[in-house]
This record gives sequence, C-alpha cells and structure tokens, in this order.
Amino acid sequence: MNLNENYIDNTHLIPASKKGNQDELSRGRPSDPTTSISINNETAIFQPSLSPATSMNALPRSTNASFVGSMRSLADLRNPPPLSSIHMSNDDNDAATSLMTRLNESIYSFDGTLSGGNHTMMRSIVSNEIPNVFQKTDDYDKNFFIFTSAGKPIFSMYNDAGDDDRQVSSLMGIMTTIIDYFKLNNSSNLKMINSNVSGLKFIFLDKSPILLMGYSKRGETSDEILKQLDLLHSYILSTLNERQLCRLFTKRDNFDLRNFLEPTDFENLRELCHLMNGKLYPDLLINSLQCLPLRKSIRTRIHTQMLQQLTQATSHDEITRGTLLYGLIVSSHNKMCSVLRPRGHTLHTTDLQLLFSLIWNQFQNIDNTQELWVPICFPKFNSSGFLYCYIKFLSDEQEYGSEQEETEGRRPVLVLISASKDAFFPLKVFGNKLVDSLREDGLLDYIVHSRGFRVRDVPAPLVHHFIYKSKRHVQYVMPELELNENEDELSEEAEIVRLSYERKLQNYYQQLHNTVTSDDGVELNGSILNYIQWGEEEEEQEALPDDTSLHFQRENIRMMGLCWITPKFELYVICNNGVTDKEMILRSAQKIVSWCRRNESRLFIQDGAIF
Amino acid sequence: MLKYLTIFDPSRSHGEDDTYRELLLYHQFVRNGDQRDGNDNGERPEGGTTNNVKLSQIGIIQGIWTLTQSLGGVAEETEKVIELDKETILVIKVEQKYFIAICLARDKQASVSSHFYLKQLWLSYRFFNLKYGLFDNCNDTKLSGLLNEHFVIFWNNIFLKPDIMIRKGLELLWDDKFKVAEFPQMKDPSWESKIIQDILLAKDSYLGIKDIALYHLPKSNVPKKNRLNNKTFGFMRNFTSNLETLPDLSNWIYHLHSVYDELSSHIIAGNVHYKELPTEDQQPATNDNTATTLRPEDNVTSNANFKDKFLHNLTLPISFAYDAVQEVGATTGISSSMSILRDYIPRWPMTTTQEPQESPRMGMNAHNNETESELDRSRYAYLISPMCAELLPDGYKLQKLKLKFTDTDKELNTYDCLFWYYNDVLAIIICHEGFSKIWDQEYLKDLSYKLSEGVRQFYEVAFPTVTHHHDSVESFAYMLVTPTQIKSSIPTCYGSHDTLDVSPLTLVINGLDSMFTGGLGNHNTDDADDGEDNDNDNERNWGVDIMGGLFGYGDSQKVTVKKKKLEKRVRYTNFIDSMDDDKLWELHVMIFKFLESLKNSRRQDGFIEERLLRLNNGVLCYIREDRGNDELVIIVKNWFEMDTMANEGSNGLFSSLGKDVTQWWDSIREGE
Repeated sequence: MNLNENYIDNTHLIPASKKGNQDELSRGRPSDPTTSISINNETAIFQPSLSPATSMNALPRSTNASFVGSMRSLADLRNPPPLSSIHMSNDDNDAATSLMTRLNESIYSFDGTLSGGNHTMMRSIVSNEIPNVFQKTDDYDKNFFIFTSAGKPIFSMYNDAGDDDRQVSSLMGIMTTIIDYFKLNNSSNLKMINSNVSGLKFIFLDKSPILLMGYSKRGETSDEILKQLDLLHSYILSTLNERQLCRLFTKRDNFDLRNFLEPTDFENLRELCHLMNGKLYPDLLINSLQCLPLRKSIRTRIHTQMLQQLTQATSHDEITRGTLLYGLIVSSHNKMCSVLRPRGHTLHTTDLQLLFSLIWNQFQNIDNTQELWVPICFPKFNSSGFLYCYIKFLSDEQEYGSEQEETEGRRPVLVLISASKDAFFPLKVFGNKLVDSLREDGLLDYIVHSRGFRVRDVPAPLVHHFIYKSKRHVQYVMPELELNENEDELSEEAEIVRLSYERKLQNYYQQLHNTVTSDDGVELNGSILNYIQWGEEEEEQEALPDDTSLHFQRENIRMMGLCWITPKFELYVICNNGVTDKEMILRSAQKIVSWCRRNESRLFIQDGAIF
Repeated sequence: MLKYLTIFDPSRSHGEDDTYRELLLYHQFVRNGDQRDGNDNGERPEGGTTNNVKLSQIGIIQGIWTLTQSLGGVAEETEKVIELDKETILVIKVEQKYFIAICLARDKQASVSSHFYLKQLWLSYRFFNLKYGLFDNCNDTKLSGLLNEHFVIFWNNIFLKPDIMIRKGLELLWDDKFKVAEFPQMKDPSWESKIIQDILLAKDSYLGIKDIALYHLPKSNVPKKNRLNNKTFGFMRNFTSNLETLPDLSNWIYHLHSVYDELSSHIIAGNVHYKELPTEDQQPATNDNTATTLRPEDNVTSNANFKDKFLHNLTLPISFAYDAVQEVGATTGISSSMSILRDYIPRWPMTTTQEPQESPRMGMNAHNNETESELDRSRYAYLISPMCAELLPDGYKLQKLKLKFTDTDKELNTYDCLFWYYNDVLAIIICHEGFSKIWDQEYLKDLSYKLSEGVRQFYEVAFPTVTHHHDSVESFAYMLVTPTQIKSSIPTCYGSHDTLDVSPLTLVINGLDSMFTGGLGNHNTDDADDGEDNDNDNERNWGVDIMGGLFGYGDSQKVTVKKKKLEKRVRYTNFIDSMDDDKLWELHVMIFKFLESLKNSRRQDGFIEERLLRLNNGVLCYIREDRGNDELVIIVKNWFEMDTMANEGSNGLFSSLGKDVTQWWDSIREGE
C-alpha cells in the first residue's frame, strides 16, 4: 500500500466532483498564505496609503528564457535549434510562452505512470540536479574543541584523543589562559573572536568545569556554532549528568575526563560532529524535529493504541502510575512518528535530538529481538539526574522479512522513558503489548514502511527541495532526497554522492536561513519574505569557428531560493537551476504552504497521545 | 560606552624587562561622575589603571591575535573583534606591526553595532595619516604625543557625544570609500571648465595648485521639510584623477561635519573638541546656563539644551578674548549679552598687507534689491587661509595634509591646503608645499572671486528652479557602493531637529565666530537678515568663519520666496526624507543586519548574490553584491505603495522593483 498516494495531490485519485476545488486550492487562493504577511502598523517603518498590495497573488504572465536551458537539453537531442531561437518573434510569443510554461511545469514528468502501491523510485526525464554555488569546504575550516577548565583536552573534531596530544594540549592551555584572564580581570566570559577579513569565527561556551570552543570559516552565524557546541556539551551531560561531572571536578581540578568516557562516547561525539557538518541536518538550524508524514487516521489510531495499552497496563497494575514518563515511536531518519506524554509536559528539542542521535549511531546494530535499557540524562529536562529508556526496534518480519535488508540500519524504534531505574520489566511488558497491538491493527506496516513524500507530490513546479516548519508544533517536514543515481545502489560511491548532495542542500539551507536571522539567531523581522538569487557573472563567450558552442554550451548557473518567515510557519525553498521568475516561485511557495496547511494533520504530530 | 583606547607596537619590546616600551598610548575614558582623582581633561592619572594592568591588557590582545592567526587566519588579516559578556574589544593592525584597540562596554539595548565603532577606529587611523603621515614615519619621541593629541580627542568626542556614531548611518561601513554628491538635474557642467580654465590652468596658479576638491555639505540641522536629500551631500568633483588619498580627505571632512554639525575655521584648524561640564555637585549652583553665559572659572560656554556638554575652544587667542571679556564684564557689571560683548572685544590691528575685501558682485546694497535671486545673497569666504590674523596659530593659515597623488608621489607627501566655502560648498585648494603665491593677499582674493564665479554657476545648474509639480518625490531610495565611491539617497540620521531651529551647539559656535569675525573683511555676505554683521564690514577680519548659508537651505529659500513667489529650487527628495528620525535609524539598522548576513555568504568567486526582502513593516529591500567588481547596490522601496499593475510582466528580482528603478539604473550605467 502506498502511503504517499493518500496525501499527494494526485488528481486521478480525487473524485470528479471535487476536482474543481482541488485545482483551486493548488493554485493558491488569494486569502491563502499571503495573509501571513500581515501589516503591523505599530512596527511599520513605512505606512500604507492604500490597502496592502496583493502582488503576491498576481499571476505571472511571462515565462523566462532561462528555462530554455533545461528545455534545450531535451529538444537538442533531436533537432538542435540555433541559439537565436531563444528570442522568439512576437507572433510566436503566446504559443511559445504556453509551450514553455507547460514544459517548465512538467520538469518532473516521469518515464512511467505513477501507479499506486509502487515504491520504485522513478527518475525524472530532465535532470533535477542543482549546481553548487558555494565554496568548497575544507576540514581545516572548522573544528570543535572540548576541554576542561584546567586545560585538559577532552575532544576535538579532527583530533582523536591521543593523536598529537601535545599539540592539542598546548592549544587548550593557551585558550584556558585567555578565558581565565577575562574571568579574573574583567569578571567576564569570552564569547567570540571574529576575524573580519578571513571570516574566521571563534565561539566559546563556558560550561565550567567544561569549556567548549569552535571555530569556523564556513559562514555560519555565531548562534549556529553556539548551538552546535551546546549539543556537544549536552551529549557529555547525557552520558554523565551534571552532578556527577561536578563531583569529579570538585575533587580534582585537573581530572582527565578522557579516562572516564567510553570509546563509544568519542564515536558518538564524532558522529554528532559529522551530522552537524557533513549531512543535511536542519534540525539544529531551525530548532525543530522532523516528523514522519502519516495519515491523520493512522496516527490517531496509533495514539489510541498507545493510550489504551497504557490504561490497561495501569489498571492491571503492570505499570504503576508515574512510571512511564514519555513514549515515542521514531521512524527512520529520525522522524518522529508518535508521542505519548503527560498533559502539560513536553521534552526539549535538544534532548530529543540527542536521543535520536544516540539511537541511530550507537544502537542500530542490535537485532530485533534485543531490547535496551539505557540511562540517559536529558540535560534540558533535568541536567542533574538520569532518565531510563527502554529501546526496542520495530519490524514486521512476517510480511516484510524480505525487505529487511533494505531498511537495515534505518528501522523504526519504540522508546519508553521512565524516571525509575527498576522499571525495565514493566516497560518491556508494556512495550511488547503495544507492538503486538500495533501489529494486529496493521499499524506497524505504516510505521515501518512509510517513506515520507517526494517533491513531486507537492504541486509546486520548479521547486527542487523545500523545508516547511510549523512553529506551533516545533516540527518540520521536507521531501525525501532524490538523486538521479539508482537508490538501490548502496555502493560506497553512491554514498559519497549522496553525502555530497546532502552537504550541498545543507549549504543552501544554511545560507537561506542566515538571510533572515541576525548573528545572534534572532529573526530579523516577525514576517519576512526573501528571495535570494545566485548567478554567475555574465561573461562574453567567444564564438567558436564552427557551431560547436551551440551544442555544448554549458548551462548558466542561476540558482534561486526563497525564505518565508511568518509567526506561524517558516518555509525555505530551493528552486531548480535557471529559475528567475520570482512570481512563479512565489506561486509555488504559496502552493507548498497551502498544501502543508491542508495536510497539517498528516504532516505533523498535533498533540500526541496525552495521558 | 567607551572604556579604554590603546595603541601598542610589540616590536619595540625585546624581553620581559622592557615590555612597557610596547605601549604607545593608553587612554581610559571616564565620566565626570566617575572622576575622583582625574584632571581637567577627563584623564585619570596612574591611580586609575596601573601599568601592569595596561601591559596585561595589550598582552592578552596580542596573544589572541597570534592564536587566532595560527588557527586558520590569513596573513592579510587586519581586524579582529573580541566579544566578552560585558565588553567588546576592537583591534586593528596597521603598518604590519602597530595594534590599535578600543574597548566598549556591551550594552544589549544599544542599537549601534560594534562594527560601526570598528569603522570609526579605521577612520581615526586614516585621519592620523592625513595629518601626520604613517606611524612609522613619525619621530619616536614625538609619536606618543601625536597619538595622544589625535586619537584621544577623536574618541573623546565620540565618548561624550555618542550620537556621532549614527550620524553617517550606513555610509560609515565603508571607511575606504567616500560619499559622492549627485545632482541629477545638472545638465550643464560648464562650471567645472570655468574653474579649470580660470584657476588650474591660469598662469599664476599653474603647477602651484595641484588640485581643488569641491564638496557640497548642506546643513543638517534644518527642519526636515527644508532639508536637501542626502544624495546631494558629499564630494562634487576634483580635477585630477590620481589623488589616491581622496577617500581619506573626503571622509575627514564628513567626519568633522557630522561631529560638529557644520564646518568652521576652528573645526578645520583642529582647535575644537567637546568637553563635559562639571556635574552639579562640582560647580556653583548660581549659573543660569544660558547660551551666552560665559564663566571664567571654566573658560567655557554652556547651554542648558546641550545636556551638560559644550564645545570647548582651545584656541588660545580666543581664550584670551574670553578672559578679557569676562574681566571687563566683571569689573563693569555689564551683562554678557553677545551684542554688548562684541563692543568690548579687543580689536587687533590688521596686518599691513590685509585689506578689507569686497566682493565685486556682492555689494553692500545687494540685499536691498527686491528682484535679486537667492543665489545673489550667498556668502563665501576662506575658512583657512593666510588671510587670517597673524596672531592666530598656523593651523588657521593653512593645513598641512599628507596626500598622495599617484602620478608624482611614491608615498604620502605634504601639501598645503586652503579651505574656502561658498554657501554649502566647500573647496579644498591643494597646493604644492613651496607655492608661495598663497601668501599673497591679492592672489587669494582673486582666487576667491574666481571660485565664487564657478560655484555660483554650479548652484544655478545643480538646483534649477522648478514649478511645484516638477519637484517630484522619488519613490525609492538607493545606495550604490563602487570600488571607491558611495552614492546614496538614503537619508542619514541627524536626530530630531524639528523643534530646534539651530542646535545649542551651533549657537555657541555662532556666538564665538560672530564675535571674532566682527566686520568680516573676507566674509562676503549681503544677507538681508544679517545686517548687524554688515555694520562692521570695514572692520578687521579675524579670518575665522562658519561655512554655509546663514539660515540653511530651507530658510534662505523661505526668505527668498517671500520676495519671489515663483522661485522654488529642486530638492531631490525621496519618500524616506519625511520619515521620523527614530524610524530612519531603525531602517539603517535593519539594512545593516541584511548586510551583515550578506557578509557570511560563502558563494564562490564569480557569483553575484541578489536578495529581495519584503518585510511586514512595509520595507522592500533589494540588495545585489558583486564581489568580483566590488560593487553593492541597495534599493529601498515601500511595498505598500508599489504599483503592482505597472510592474506586471517584470518578474526578475531587480526588474520587479519598477520602471523608476530600472530607469535610474540605466542612467547610472550610461554615466559610467
């Protein structure tokens, strides 16, 4: 069963009587997301003399020659047109405009029909790759250092403990001296050193007895680096907790924490660094969690099952009241699926990010029969104590055993969190019953095999990728990543390509996000719409003696992105190369917002199962 | 708030025993209330900060510099910002070895980013170069003294009057570029050729006058409705293409203008600075603090509206004059009213070569002519010239500036500069050091006349008269930053002057100047409302003056309109000109934040980045940065007011801004 088909706007699935309405929605009604850019007369710098302009809803009339680049790569295979044909005569304008618009919108046409229930990745006819307009990153552009107040090194991103320890130790010594100088003489903490010419930023985070320092030349804001340092520090706390840490250092200032941490801790720290710097990880950037799209009824049934099982367990005294604090079902790629929580209590995003990271980095290798009982400190919840997590991976061996291989390493997981360290068996019983009930209800299939949605599922032409964050839910959604390479190919090369693509997207999103936030992470305005375009400088191309240049002319790079920040949502859009029509992009953005709002109950966990 | 300023040179120390040699300047900023054991100049003696503390501070700055350079820094790194919880330290490295650092207390409420202070730090260094040359070229024994004289006064002004920081707004962000004035309706540039022919190519000036730099510096402290748009402010033109230090020279003038609101002989001569008044518990409570009250015990003039700060004039002859006035006043019991005071000012005999100057065009009776145009009522004079009284210090006769012309100078060279004005136009006459003609009074008078002819013609073509419906208000504001120049129509922030015709600070200056210019021998004016000054037209001239129309652009215009109803001159205004000052600064801060985030852009070389931001407060801001060509364009519009129908079909980021913007851009490109 294809989950996607239930929420994508496939007109063939919609009854004819409703088709008209559906089309209307897809185009974006005048009152749709545009209302989010509201006029605040109190803070307005400029006052309107007329009613607010409605240009955001204006339909674009013309299309744009830059799309031709994409078109030509198709058409030229059969009959290469001369370059001058891009500039069409007036008589042909309407017909050409119409043709180009249709072609533009069909850029995500496929060489097969979109049949329900078929999960096979279909490749687009036209290449949907986007060029990289950003500078290549170098390992030495960025590093994180964690050390003690006494200057003992704990961890550095590009230096394993023990490797070239002397160099790191002397560096830590100097940094500690500088930090202490300001503490002693100015009663002030060192926060940042900024080298304006090179763009090198040093960010310091004093969490005595642990100090953290990160430097970067990658154009991140101070707030971004600070968040990354905070996540690393939170990880250390999650393994030790603050009280234990203080106890260790109260007795001995120069305690070497490296001897206390496990090798897996260093691995996890490195994985965190890799996640933050080498992958597409918007969670930290936009401070929210990714959510697994599920039909509202399915999610409601899961939540109902969770509540029912909990009620039964407590009524049968299998679990005493208060034993279970939180229950989570997390799908592959760290997507939240369902939440069981007490009324009025939620877990902090950072705590959950840490938990998910720990699960995927450390426990993915255990088999389905194994269960884990792990003490974890959730630093934002309570940094002085541990909570205990029952962790069990989910799969449906009976029906989908053959597909196990495909999903290996990316299995959904059930996490039950308790404050009681002796609650393993009650939670195990509860967990097993919950999984059984989910399986019996057929809900486990949805959890295990749900794969999110793809960009083509959203009726937003010319959009390469997007992130939509619902501020109320502190959750975001984005389409699955689509590469032109065969996804089944799990070769090392494919993985490199995938990583490179993720990094490219991360760069785009980071740059888009930075255009609407200040260096300290505050949004520049409560409501802002920002288009960004990166284009190559126009250079005159020398004409070659033959017409080779017509056939092999390199496609010009002209990338456009859009950020749309309102009090309710944040939208970040990356367009296909060659798109320069801002009205068309705005129309697509409106369609995305409209689509996300329409499917809000499917895309986001509204409240979860509350007890 | 500023905390301390230090300049040091680590290369001067060769061991632990002589680290004190590194320290060239250390100045701690203290307010009157904090001053327990300080001297008059607000400096705290050794008791405030010990030498050990000073040395440790420069040591840690040096340490941070070295450490950060070793972790991915680039060799050409010249500035660093060190942010602490409570303070920010800004450091620049100049001439490969000198460090200049300034420390600011962090105020989370402050809207002025430390980046603005960093740019001021660069400017303070550049202005030092302009006056004294490179640090390296200064005699070791004199260097500390010069640094003290220049940097302390520069930063003390900012310390006492922090709103200086916002005066130039965004224009401050490019310390190596300078603002250029634009007069789009000026079609006929013949005034330029007049100056070239009559002065630069004239037999008696040729090879003596190296260049003339002309600036249009309209008064800032006029009511907003009469203010000219910012695009008319700044550099008009010079007549050589190889004055490399033109940005520094221009920015120096703008800085003086923004600090003191106007330019006068004292200001250009460098004899003026701000000083804080003693607080109430430190002064007798009997003073009524009126604008004209002079107090011998302080040797200052105060004004209640000026928030305990006043312009402290260090010019010795003037101080002497104050003393004399006070002495007379005290002994005779006569009030200190300025009109009466002037009668008691001692009059020095004029030098034998100095004759009362009369303008061939502007006779005494000119203002009686009802049909005379506004331009004929203009005033012009030298601000700095050898025509000033001999008793005045050399700085009033000429300014020796270190400039570099790429065709003749390999490094900074000393040039004698005279300063002359015609209403709001300032001319800097750059002469070779050995050009002796400038000591000839007749030559100077002739030069002044020729300049006035050229500039008068400029006024006629730059500000043509318009009928009401032709003086349109531009619907957008722009800033264009090119490799050396800034063109901007975004108004800068002058604070609220709507309720004050002239700032209290200005009153004090006016008082001083009218006192000593008296008859204004070289101060040519025929202004109808300044008859009192003209009474003494034949009297001796002190050679000190204030540039600008006596009533600013708007008021003089108003006076003229009374006489000639139809005459109204173009003001080049745009829609932001009417904005409140608070909101205007808010707009500057917002655009600054956009630019800050643009600085973080990591795009590859050869890529141009364009942004179009639309905020819910009505701001539509377009920014285009081309790093390859070192070009930045900022355009601000009010999207509430945009005619979307008119822009239909224009869907590119730039073209969607409207035809008026694209036409402006085309005209800019055509002009290049």
